[in-house]
Amino acid sequence: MRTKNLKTPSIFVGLLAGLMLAGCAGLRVDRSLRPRPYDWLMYGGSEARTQRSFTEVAPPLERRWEYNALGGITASPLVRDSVVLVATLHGELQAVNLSNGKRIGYVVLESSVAGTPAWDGLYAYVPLANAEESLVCLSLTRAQKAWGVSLGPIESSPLLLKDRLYVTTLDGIVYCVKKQDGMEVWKFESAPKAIRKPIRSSPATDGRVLVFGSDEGTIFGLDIETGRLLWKHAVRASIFASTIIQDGKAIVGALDGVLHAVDVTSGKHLWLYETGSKIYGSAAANAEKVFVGSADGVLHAIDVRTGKEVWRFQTKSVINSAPLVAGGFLYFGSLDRTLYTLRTDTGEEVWRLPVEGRIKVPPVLWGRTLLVTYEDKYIAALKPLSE
Amino acid sequence: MRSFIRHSILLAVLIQTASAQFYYFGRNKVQYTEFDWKVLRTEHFDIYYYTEMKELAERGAFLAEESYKHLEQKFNHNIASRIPLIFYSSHLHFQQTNVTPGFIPEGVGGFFEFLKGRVVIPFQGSMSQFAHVIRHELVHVFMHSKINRVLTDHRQSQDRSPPLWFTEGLAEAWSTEWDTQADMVMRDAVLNNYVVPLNDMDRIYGSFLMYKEGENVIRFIAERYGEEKVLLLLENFWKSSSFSEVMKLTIGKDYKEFDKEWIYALKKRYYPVMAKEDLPSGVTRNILDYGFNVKPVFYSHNGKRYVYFIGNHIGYTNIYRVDLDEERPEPEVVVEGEKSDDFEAFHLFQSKLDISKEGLLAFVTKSGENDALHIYDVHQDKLRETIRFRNLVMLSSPSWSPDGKRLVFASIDKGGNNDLYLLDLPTKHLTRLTNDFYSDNDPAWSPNGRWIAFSSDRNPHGMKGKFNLFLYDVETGHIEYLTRGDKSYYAPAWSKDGKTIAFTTDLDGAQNVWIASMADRREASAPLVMKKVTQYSTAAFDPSWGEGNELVLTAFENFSFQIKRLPDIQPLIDSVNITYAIDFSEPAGELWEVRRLEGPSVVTDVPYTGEYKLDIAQSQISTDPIFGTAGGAALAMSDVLGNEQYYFLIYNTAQARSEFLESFNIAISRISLGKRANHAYGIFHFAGNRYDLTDPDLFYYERAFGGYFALSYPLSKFRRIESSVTVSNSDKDVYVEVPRKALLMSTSFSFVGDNSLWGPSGPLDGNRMKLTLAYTTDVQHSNVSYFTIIADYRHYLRLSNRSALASRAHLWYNEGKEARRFFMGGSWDLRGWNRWSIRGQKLWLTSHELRFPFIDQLGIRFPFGGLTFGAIRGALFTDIGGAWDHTYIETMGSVGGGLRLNFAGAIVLRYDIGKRIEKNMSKFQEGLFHQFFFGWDF
Repeated sequence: MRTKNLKTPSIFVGLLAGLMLAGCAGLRVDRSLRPRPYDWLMYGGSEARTQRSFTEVAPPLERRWEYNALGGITASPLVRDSVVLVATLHGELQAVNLSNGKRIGYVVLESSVAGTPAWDGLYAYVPLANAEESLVCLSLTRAQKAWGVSLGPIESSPLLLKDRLYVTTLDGIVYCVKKQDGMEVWKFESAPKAIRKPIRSSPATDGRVLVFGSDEGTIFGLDIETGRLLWKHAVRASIFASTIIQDGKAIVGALDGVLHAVDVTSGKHLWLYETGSKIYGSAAANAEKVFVGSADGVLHAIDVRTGKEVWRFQTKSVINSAPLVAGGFLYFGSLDRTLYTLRTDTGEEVWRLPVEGRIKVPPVLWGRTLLVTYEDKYIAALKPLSE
Repeated sequence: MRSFIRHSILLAVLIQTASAQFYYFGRNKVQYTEFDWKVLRTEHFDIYYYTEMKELAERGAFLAEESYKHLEQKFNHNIASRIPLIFYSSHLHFQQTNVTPGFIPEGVGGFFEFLKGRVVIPFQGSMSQFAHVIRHELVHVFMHSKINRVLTDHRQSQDRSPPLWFTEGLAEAWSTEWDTQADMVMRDAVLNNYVVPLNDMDRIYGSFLMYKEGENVIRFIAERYGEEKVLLLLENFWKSSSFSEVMKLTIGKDYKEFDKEWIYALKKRYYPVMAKEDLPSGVTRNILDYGFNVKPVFYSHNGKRYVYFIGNHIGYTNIYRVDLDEERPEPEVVVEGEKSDDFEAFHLFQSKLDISKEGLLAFVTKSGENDALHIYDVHQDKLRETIRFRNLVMLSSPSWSPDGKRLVFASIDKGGNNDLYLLDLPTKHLTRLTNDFYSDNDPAWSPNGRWIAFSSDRNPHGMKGKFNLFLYDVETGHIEYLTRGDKSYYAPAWSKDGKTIAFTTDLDGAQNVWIASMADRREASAPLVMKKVTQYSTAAFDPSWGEGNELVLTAFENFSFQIKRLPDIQPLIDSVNITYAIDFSEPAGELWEVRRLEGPSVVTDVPYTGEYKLDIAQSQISTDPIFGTAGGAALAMSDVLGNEQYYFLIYNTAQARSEFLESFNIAISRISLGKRANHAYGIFHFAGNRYDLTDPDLFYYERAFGGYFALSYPLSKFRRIESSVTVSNSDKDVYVEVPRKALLMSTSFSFVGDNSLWGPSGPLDGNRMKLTLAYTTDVQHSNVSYFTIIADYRHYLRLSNRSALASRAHLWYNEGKEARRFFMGGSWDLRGWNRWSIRGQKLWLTSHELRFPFIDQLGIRFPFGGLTFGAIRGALFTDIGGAWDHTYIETMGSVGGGLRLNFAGAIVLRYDIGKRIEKNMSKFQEGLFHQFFFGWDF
């Protein structure tokens, strides 16, 4: 590994660590974090969840640091300015210095965090999988819980839009709450209680319609203001993946291996694409193509307009996380312990990086730093060789 | 020093655990075959195989890689390290594996050993079954890895796993289809009202019923709640230590709620079956009503009619016969199995019997390395002949030619191929009739001598486990279809006149007996018209013709196999009134093939050189009020195949730095189990203060170092000879006496026999014996010189299925200079007397004990849960014995009774109450003694 000094962020490392919880844990993030257009603040990078980065970085990349979270990770890392937030399956929210991979601090939560939190300024909204208060708002400056609400177990990622949070739960209910205090604005029950199925799919929106899938195999479209059901579309299998919205289409894969595209406004089915295997992970998209991995290790590129295959790429094991679109490059990982980089237009492999563990979390790009999560507890920061 | 003793025991326990051959008694796991092991390295597996089965290993490699691809998608998970997969080409070879130290019953189709992640699988003649077992075991591998991952991710300890019904049920559900056999078990359980709910699944822990109920539960969850819920049960495993709660969190129902729903659904599914079908007991009578009885064959002689069959009534499997003309026929043992070298094991469910017109019963047993074919004269009740084949490992279902001079049978060779063979008895000439990887079974020679009907998967649906019937033309060698289609057909049996053939098939649901007229069959392309004979809701097996329209067969009901007699099948055929015609006008379709992973681009093939991994590593620091603080460690390692094992013990009892070197205890042992003659050798250095167990007043310092070599040669599963030599330099300081130096050499020879059959608390049948001669001498200083005789004989007289009179007599005899003392007293030998309180260089003991069932199950229900105790046994006993050094002192004894509780199959808790007898058995001591201890009955 090269030892060249890293470029220091334009402002001094805006972090401080302090004790908060009875001497066992602490987290305090400085108020001076500066917003950037390419901050990665929620799952999928935006409310459309398209896994599309605002910047591009071309391989080859080299590893600058590796961080061990000491517990499993299924949530994407979030990045703002010089701080990375990592939520873990053993119930911690950890802050890491982006420049050197050192831990700044951590907060012990009541339960495991399976979904990706949402980060808004000085607050993080954290979904908990197995706690009474299952959505908590943490003040990152005071390292305290600002509020917590009981919504039922959550294994998806909250959506933050303006002053509201949208959350799907394993109880099969969707909640809209105010980000200031967690007060309920509306809730939507996907079915009567006796037959209601869990919702693992994280919601996405085009600003008007909130879209998500469910275990019972239905794609729902709700009025984001009122929670009123606008449409629903039944598919043949459960949906674990999160919906993405691209070009007016809600796109999501189901466990029978079919990727569905429906019109966000009307719910009309537009096209489907059969991968031939299970789809566990979410898709990514740019203006022309949708990219999705399947359990048989194939990364599929599909024309977003027609639903026809453009190209496919075979890896050696299951792909169960979403790819990342970074300009003309597509970054994604597989359980075969390899990070792949393909050209989005041709599917040509540009670069691959073997890592020490399985990749089950989508990569995240902040500026020109690519964060790769693997073997469920490590995060590596990769940067171009020349920088 | 007490701590040292503990560690010595630990080491001994490790050694004993590793090798049954080094037990005091015990049967032998004989390594008859010297395998030339090789390793096939594929993308995800290291496949261990031996030269003769290379082709099979390459096919297995393909099946394993296919399963891997399938399962990584199902589990959404993959395996981080290479998976060791050990193949054997037959179950008899598999039974020789050292990967696990215990004996492997015939019903075990493979296993996953999770400490080292090894998967061990035998080929059993059928490629579809091979594929099923490979996938079944790989489900375990994936599940184990996934659960570990889930717990690790949530930073939880990995000391728990899902319940066995779930792990085995999932392994079945994700490795095979719901087949006729599974349906048979569940139909039977529902219709006979013995479905065990999840709440009580411990009652059938590890049983086949548990496997099938578990599989049914998994399939029910997948159908009712969605396939993904099965995966989520694993992913949610971290959420609670109660699996019932995990189910509640995943599907919304805990055990109790789920049981209600599941059992209701089972009833909805299976109760309607009764409208058209019958329970076997509802329409036919059993020949016998107890035990397991299978594979009947009819024989008549001098106007008397008999059925011969294989049965297990009291734990051992025998061949029995019953006289059909008796009002209440009692079975008579014809061939006693599982007690002697020749008849080591019957293949209870796999091999049929046949009797020639001359009264020669042909059957097969395991006999040493391979199976043997036996010819038994039922008129003279005498074994006529035993025939062994050098290259045929397993044999099954011999069938006589009409002239009684030839036999056809199925056999698995060393390469794993399961083919038909023809043996000419006068010349002993063996002819191979088929030679391929298809599974050929159940041959039946037609009365006209031209045809051999058999069951085989050489059909387009064979890889799905479907068997059709075929005819082999003895004159031309041509093979043609007798039945066709994607259903299974087994066990063809010709009527005496050769005009009709009976067989079993699951054509319309449950497996039942059907017949077809062979007299009407003019050419191979003509339709075969079949008529259904039995209409059982469970299953029928192995029909065998009697006189005229008479059939005997095996039926499954109440989780038992019993033999039924159908005196006249025509009325049954008329009442069932189901016929079916197989059309032969279209081509049968392409036969299946399993690819081989071969060639350097796909696999690398290298000799096995031994790859060692740690089995156990343990360290300990202990504090003793007398000897102070001491510390040490023990570790064991073995190769992948378990053939070579190393044990290391290091321990120090020094109380001061100056004592460090002289208080060092170290022992290194190597045990080699790969060949028939097992051997062990090692070196040791033990030093420190010691008690002499045989004399509590003796407290001394001893430093001993040396080495040993031990050899164990099994003559058979039941008998072995043992020998050992130990050389030890011993410096002994008794403090109050002059220090003693000695260079001790001990040699011993033993003969051990054991064919005992065990119940819940100890042996119930058979006998055990050990005779040891040994000599110990000081070759340097002549300070020690004594010889040893140990004679120990135990006999278990079976009184009923679950009771026995156990007797033992043993003599331990040391004579000579510094001869060591033996000791007895306590729960294991002379009961009532203080433990180890009776000591002497000579010692004798005899015991007699009546063992009987006392309480089968004791349940205590609390508001918050329950406790269940099973198999509490009773005992009435008397012990008599004495010990002396030079002059005999007195005979002592005891009488009493006791209870034994088998706790989780691992340990027996014992309570005894009785009276001591002293003064040469002339006086009862005052009061009663009470003893509570643990250990198996003698």
